[in-house]
Amino acid sequence: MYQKTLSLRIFGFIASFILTVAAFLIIIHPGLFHLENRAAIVIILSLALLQFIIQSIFFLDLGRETGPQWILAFFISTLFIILIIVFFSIWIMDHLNYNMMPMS
Amino acid sequence: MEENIKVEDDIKVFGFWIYLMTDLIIFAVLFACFIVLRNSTFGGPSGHELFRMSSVLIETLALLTSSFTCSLAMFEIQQKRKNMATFWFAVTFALGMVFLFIEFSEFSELMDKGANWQRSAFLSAFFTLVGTHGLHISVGLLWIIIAIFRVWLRPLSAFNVCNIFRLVLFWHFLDLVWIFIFTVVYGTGHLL
Repeated sequence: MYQKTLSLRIFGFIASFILTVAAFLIIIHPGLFHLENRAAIVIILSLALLQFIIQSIFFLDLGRETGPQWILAFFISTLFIILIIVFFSIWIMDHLNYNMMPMS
Repeated sequence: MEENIKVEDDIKVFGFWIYLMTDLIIFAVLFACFIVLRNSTFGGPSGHELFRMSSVLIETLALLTSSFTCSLAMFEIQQKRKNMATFWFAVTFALGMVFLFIEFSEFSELMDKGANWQRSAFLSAFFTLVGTHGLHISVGLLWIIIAIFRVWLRPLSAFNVCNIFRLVLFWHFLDLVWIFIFTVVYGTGHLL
């Protein structure tokens, strides 16, 4: 059982390492991958999200509780709150700027 | 042995998890603030001119590796191998110090260029977000020192193991937040 846990950790570490280096290469040379800067941002954000999920599962052991999954439920509801805070802040404030600063 | 295996089910772990989630909301608010103010440089330097990506990569990999060695330390504790657990916690501490050192030298370099937190709203948001994370790392490093002494001097009772398990959760959590600082602050800052 423990040995299994250790191999999960090692897998999580290697996957996170690869994703970090991949994101770094895209940040430094977006032209190398024939990417516009906008597309590169979308891709590194997806890589970050993927790494977030991998670390949650393989380091934080999310979803491997015994019994009712209170921790997972709390985690997901928090992510929902965060989505609301971040997404709507950006949405509102960007349009506020757009409407209030006349650009020549 | 039985109580060690069940440590994850402890009510204290759930309470600590609630703390971690509220902390995550704090970081989310700071992220929202940073993203909203990302272009408000007030004529000052932007992220693209300021950030040195090579040192940020070393910082990121140091923190990621420390998160991994931290889980190895927890593994050794569950195996009741005290010396190995102490060793891996020491490695975690060293990598955390490397991270903090690079962060502080980056901050002082920004200050030298006149890019302090009074320069623009963008830099205020930057220093608040990254500084809050750095503060958490400092607290985590103090906690690691305490954990090393706990492993060294105390028996591996359920109480002590549970305390160390919460430290490991905290440290993983900090690496989780750093993924997004690396991507959102430094990555998009460098690309835009």
